[in-house]
Amino acid sequence: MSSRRNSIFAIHLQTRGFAYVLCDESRIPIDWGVYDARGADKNARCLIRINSLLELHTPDVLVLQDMSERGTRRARRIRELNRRAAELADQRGVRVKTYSRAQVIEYFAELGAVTKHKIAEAIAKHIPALDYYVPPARKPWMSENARMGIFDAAALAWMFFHSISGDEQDAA
Amino acid sequence: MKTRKPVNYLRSYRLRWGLSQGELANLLGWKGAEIVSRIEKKHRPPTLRLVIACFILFGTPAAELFPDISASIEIDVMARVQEMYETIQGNPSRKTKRHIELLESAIERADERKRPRQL
Repeated sequence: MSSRRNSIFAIHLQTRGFAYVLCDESRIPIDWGVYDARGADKNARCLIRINSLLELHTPDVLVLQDMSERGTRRARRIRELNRRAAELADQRGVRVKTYSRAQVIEYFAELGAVTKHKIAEAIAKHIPALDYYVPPARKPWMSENARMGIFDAAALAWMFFHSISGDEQDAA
Repeated sequence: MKTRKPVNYLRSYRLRWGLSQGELANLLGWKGAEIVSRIEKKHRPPTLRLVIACFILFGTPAAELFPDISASIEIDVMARVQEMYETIQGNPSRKTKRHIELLESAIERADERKRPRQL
């Protein structure tokens, strides 16, 4: 008999590494963080880190950004990293789900959050553990805080929870 | 089949209060950050001292902080409780009556924990 709750691992790939959030099925975050990779071979180092996180947490679902032709347009290196992360998960028997940025924006717009910062605040409101990590509102001359990636990843996980709750409603 | 490691929320609680591993280890009574790191990476199980120290610091019981370890201990204990409960039935002594009271209350509490909690 296993009492282990299912866990959902969401990764948001960034120019300098990636941000991740691991939640259990009741949306309680177990782990989150930002992995900073700079210089040559960023993809290789990111993949090593993603692999070690998959091994450590053994999630049931990996949520990634949809970078297919119909999904979000990202740099070629990041698309390649996304594809290889999905392959890694597949090899470990982890289900992979993808959502495009447009889907995330559309969903959070319904909740009244139309900017990245508002989305981060909306997530932190529902997941108080992440409240401490909401970066200060970005001014036009400021570059994006790497911690914003945590909320991009959390938004992907949120989309997954939203999609399964929709499926449950459809089934009922 | 993938090997599933027991979930623990130690890292989650540490991160939500913005503590480093060293700071948490210090608060819990250890000199180095290694113990926190090893428990977070699931390289070793938490010690009783650490579980009690976490309860004092975070106010979180072991069952919430280390749910899988807690659940596996509960399964073991409850199997033995059921076994003893079955074995001692029919014995009229006062001592056995006390034992039955204890075992029934343990079974009742276990059933209570299994019921879905209202959020």
